[in-house]
Amino acid sequence: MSRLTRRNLLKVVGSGAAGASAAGLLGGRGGIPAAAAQSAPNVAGQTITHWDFLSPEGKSPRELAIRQIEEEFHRRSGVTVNFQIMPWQDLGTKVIAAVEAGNPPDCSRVNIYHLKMILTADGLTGLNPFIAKTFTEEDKKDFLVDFTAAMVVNNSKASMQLETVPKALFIRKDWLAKAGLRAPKTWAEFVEVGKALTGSGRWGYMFGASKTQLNQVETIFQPQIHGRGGRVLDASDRAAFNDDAGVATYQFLADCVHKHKITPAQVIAMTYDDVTDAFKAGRVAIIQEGAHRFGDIANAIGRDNLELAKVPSDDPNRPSPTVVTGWGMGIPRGSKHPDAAWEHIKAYLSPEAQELNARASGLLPSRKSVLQRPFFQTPEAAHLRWWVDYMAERGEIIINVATFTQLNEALVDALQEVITDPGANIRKVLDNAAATYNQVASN
Amino acid sequence: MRAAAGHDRRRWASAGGFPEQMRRAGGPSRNPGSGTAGLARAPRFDAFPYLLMAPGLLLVLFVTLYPMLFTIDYSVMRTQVFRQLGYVGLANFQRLFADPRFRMDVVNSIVFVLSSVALTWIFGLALALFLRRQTWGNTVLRTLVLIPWVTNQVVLALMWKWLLTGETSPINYVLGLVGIPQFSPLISMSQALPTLIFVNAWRASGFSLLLMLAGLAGIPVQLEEAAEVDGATWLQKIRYVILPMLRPISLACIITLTISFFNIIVLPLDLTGGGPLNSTEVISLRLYREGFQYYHMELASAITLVLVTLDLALSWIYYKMIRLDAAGA
Repeated sequence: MSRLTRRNLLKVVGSGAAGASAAGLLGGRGGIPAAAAQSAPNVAGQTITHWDFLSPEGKSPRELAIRQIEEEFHRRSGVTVNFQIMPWQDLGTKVIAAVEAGNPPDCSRVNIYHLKMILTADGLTGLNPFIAKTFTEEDKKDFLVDFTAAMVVNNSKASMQLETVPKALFIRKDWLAKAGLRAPKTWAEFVEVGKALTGSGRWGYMFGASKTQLNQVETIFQPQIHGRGGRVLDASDRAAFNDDAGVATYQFLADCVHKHKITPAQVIAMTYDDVTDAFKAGRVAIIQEGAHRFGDIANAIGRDNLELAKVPSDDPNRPSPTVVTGWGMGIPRGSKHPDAAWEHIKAYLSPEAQELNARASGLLPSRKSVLQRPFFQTPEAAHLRWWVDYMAERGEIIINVATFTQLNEALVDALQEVITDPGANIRKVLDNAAATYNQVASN
Repeated sequence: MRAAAGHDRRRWASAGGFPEQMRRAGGPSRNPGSGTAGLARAPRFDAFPYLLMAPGLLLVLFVTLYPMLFTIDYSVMRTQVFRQLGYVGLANFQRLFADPRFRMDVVNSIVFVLSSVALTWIFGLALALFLRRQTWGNTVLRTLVLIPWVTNQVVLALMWKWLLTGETSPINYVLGLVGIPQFSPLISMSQALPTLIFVNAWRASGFSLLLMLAGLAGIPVQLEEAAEVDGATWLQKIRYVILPMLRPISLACIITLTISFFNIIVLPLDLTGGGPLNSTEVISLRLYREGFQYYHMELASAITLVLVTLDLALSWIYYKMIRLDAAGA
């Protein structure tokens, strides 16, 4: 897991459009790098299968952006893309099964947290040859976040990052204003705000702790445990969430339910999607959410009613980290049309496509140079600049291990235990969870 | 009542029931002494019917035998996703049975299956008795009962989750209006599994209803009339006439439901996710997790074999019960 340094991220903004233009990023064919335009193979007329959890036929902001990107891609390349839609939490595992069955899609979305597991199963084609043909050395540096630790295995890159999804607190700004409060900077303030905003059928804070959508649970814990000075996993990827910071985090979450009463016990039956829906429906004041759902939520509750805030810590001058994740795109092993699949991936890396995504859904682009485009300097893009600043200050990549699902399961089991049993010995619960995870991870 | 049933059976036989008619027509009989002249000569082996059956047989073998061999192979190996790293004998099974969570899964499965089957059968029978008369209203009600059985389990799970989760529950809203405190069975260690069982039985009652209605339609009306003439009460009629006559179809219903419930994944996954604290995790859900979430193919294969063994054992017991039942008849 690599830390995002402020220097690296600020260099993004400082590098300027000139560099990007020089690298051909803003020119070329439809925003595709100039090098690509020269060496692109003729793939016109081919039909590829693409696996995704978003559909160009859908109505959400991200899906509307995808429709435009796909139409433009088809117009320029002559490639027809057949979308096959899967649940987002199953996409990685389904790619593995399809590769093993000898019937993989030509192209697929893959999340960072699934990558190690897919690569363990040798499920993706190495992208180095395609990258070498397409990108200059300068282009290769043009990525906002260095996901090398997650995406490069045995010196081979397996996925191209399409977007950057940092996570923070989403707060009902209108409720805050009505209560005469401001966004909390410390956990103590967080509880006070939560209490003030709880009542009349509303809750102060919710998080999804059901096992139905496991892979988002870790994003609750990583900022909180790391923000308290602990680690979820140690340097050798063994469980460390049973340290003092872990105990304090679990104690805090249990207290939110039992002591402060700002969180309903029902969260143990709620998924990540349920919590987002509850926020959109006006039933909760604060959630931990990602940039990718900003547009959707803003549409639901009104842009002016949504405030972004850094994850609090015990030090008002130093927030807890923002966990950075996001979807990439890769070419499953055995793809029948790898060249066309690469062209498809490139279409999503073009500055135009990335700006479209940012405008439509609030997603941060994956490429630095895109941030130099005029849109990102407008008041409309203020929230995007806020995310960049937060990442520069306290960004860290989501944990990526092959046993990520089991890690989430261990964290959730422990959370469910401390919520269902108010008298549980948290240290003991976490020791058991850590031992269980270490045993699974070592098998 | 038994006398009435026996009387009816005798009447049916004297009128020339199906076996009697077959005998008269010179058709096949279990009695070797009653054969016709054509059966005296051993028939010549004719390969043609087997040739016609071969494609179907090969297809069935491919989709059943191959996965079974694949599963047995992986269950005795150490694996990394699909890559076999070495032979480990029965170590995967030892690991599985040493795991307290798996033992809990087995107990949960047995409780879930037995309770669900019993409830589904009772619901189906009760509904069938209530809705057996052919009226317009009953036809509508039967259709309503069937809807959950033909509806996607994801939809049912989401609906019940919405109904039973304290925060969004309209049930709790109504209870709140009359001063009754909220209830949230899905987050209770003691109530989650009974809730899952109830929802599953409610879902499958339509299937049970169909079978029971078919069974009731097959009961000669004279039997029930004879029981009424003998002064049997409604409950006695059910106990001594209807239930014995429904026995074969009840067994068929129970076998089908048992195998179906042992292999259920979607409903528990989407309704409770196996929680809280694995209190609703059944073997099939664990199998799904090991196989398709963790990619522990060796453990998934071992669990599959445990599940198949349980299915086969139950099927064998039911088969024996049907044989006994047929012999008793």
